[in-house]
Amino acid sequence: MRFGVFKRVVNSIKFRLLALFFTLYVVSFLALVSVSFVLLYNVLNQNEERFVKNELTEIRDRMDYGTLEQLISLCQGEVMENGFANLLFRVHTPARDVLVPSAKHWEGYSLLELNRLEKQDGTVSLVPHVKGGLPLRVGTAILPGGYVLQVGLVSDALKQLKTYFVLIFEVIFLPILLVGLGGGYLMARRSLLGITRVTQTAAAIYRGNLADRVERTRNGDEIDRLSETFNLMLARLELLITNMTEMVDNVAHDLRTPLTRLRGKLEVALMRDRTPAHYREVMESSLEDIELLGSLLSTVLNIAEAEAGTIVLNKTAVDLQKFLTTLYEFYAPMAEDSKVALLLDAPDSLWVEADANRLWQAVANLVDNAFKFTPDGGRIEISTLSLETEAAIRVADTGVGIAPSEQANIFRRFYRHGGGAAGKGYGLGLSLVKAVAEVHGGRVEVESTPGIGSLFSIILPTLQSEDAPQRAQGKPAEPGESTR
Amino acid sequence: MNVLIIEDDPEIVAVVRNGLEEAGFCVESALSGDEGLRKAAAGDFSVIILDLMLSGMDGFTILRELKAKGIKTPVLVASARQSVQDKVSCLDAGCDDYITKPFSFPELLARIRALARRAAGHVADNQVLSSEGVRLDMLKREAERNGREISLKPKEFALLKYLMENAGNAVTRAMIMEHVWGYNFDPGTKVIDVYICQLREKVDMEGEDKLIQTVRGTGYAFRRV
Repeated sequence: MRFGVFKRVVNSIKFRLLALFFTLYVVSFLALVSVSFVLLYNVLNQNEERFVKNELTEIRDRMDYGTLEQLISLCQGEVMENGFANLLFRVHTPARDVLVPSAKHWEGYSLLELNRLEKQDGTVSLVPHVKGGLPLRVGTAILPGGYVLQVGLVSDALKQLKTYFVLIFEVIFLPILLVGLGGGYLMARRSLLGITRVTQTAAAIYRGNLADRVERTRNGDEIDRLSETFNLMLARLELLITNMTEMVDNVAHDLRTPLTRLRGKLEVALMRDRTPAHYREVMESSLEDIELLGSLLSTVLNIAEAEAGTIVLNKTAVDLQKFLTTLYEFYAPMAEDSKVALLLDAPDSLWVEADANRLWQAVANLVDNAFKFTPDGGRIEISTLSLETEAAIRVADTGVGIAPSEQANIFRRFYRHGGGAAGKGYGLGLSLVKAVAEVHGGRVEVESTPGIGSLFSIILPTLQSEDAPQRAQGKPAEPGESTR
Repeated sequence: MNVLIIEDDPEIVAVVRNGLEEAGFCVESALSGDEGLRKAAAGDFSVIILDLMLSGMDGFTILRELKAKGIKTPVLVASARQSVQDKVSCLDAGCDDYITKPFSFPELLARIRALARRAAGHVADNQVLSSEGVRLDMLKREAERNGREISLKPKEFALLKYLMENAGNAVTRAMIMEHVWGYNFDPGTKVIDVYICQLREKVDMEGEDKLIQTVRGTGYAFRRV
């Protein structure tokens, strides 16, 4: 449990942001400190070295016109003058007699090392303190007469730098780090507050309130955009679910009627013995009701699939001219039969990308409707219209027309034009047409005047013309070929 | 002809068995996928009818197992799923035909017969199709009834040909739509009825026996009453 909490904290974005911030801060600070440390240390080193060299040169210059005694007193004078407890002189005769009594400071440094350096004229080196004290910067000059002069400067450059940098660390780095971490935490918390809100809403919705929405800040930042997207998704989900519930209600209602009929017919038939012919009649008429139920179910499922966007389209390049010619020829006998003139006006090839089966279903629905509502002697015209980036399939009739007040409703599921007086049908046709058009990225439009006629258009995006000829046309199979 | 039904609903099995036996088939049934696979491997069947949603082992697995065992018997999948995608995945998995529940029995029979015919190698179109005195010449695209020439438009010819190929048995409107027009869905329109009407006027003249029958609740059939 405790490990779980730890894991949650470690995995939270807040923690990870802070950890990242902390690491970046420390790394960049350390880089800055090391670079300035090295640079400063070099400068201080060079200063010390120059100082030692200057001392050596000064004394050597004076020696040129002076005596050994003068040198010695000079050295002693120099020590006095500078008053440096950290500036040391050592002068040897070639016979290693020490002429300038080395200050007791020399004692801390290895004589062996100092003697070794005596042979290196003009160099400056660093000799460590034997007990871990400050090191000594030693310069050696071999003077005329074989006298050896060593000037030593107790080097405190490193010590001074250390002191400074500890100060910088305590006074600057730690406060900035604390302020930064605190500020970073607050900023992370503030910017993640929106996400927390989204999470809370999602949790509320999970518990059942689909009408809930995330409160928006409307400042257009990422969180606000997340909230917006989230709300849009919720709206769509809610709409889908409302639609679905509505559809289930409608389907239940529309299934009841044929089911009642079916049940009644069968029960009445079984009330007493009947002739075989009577049984046959009842059974055949029952079968018709069952067929109706089956096709209602298929249509509802088709619409549901198309509306939910879960439909899988078998898209191919379709030439509307060829497609509508086939459809026109399909309907031609029906026109002869019902004394309605059926016309086709598709002068040019017009390519769209579509699922030919679905498109056929949609256009056939419009044509069926046109036949249903056009009286004898009327006219139905199927035509294409090429728009800029779109193609329209138009079905015009000289039928009864649709009142403007009704036009908004005709695409609703289970809405029956004219109150259902126009024969059987479930009022699903046009909602299927709409769903199919929309799932192809298109739309349906209607213009209608009562008493004069209606014009329905399915408008689809056209295929780029250079693609069209290369693709095979997607009609499922030529008649007679298909055995599946 | 032997048919194997793999279906876990005993009542559907009983109904299909009765119907098929009445139509002259010998029927074996299997209520589970394992049993089905065993029987399919052991027996000699003309067609296997497979339910896609079996409890235990799903239809796709059975299809693959059948193919893996080298069983060449054609498989007719019967499924409650109606989407094009389901049909396509089934055909991809190796089934030979697909029928959606609830199916009409004449359609089931027609599909079984078509599969059996195909498996037996009688696919090649006959040059002449002849039944009940009606003769169709596929090459010349000519039709006659007892010596009387019948002048048919191309679609009417295709429709009559399809009815005659299934002579004696009913076909549904969806089957007609699929085979004559190549569109694969329930047309839900009266157009086919109109075609049948016009065909009937040409084939069945006054004084002749009616050969194109309406089968209520199902579709149409080419047969003498």
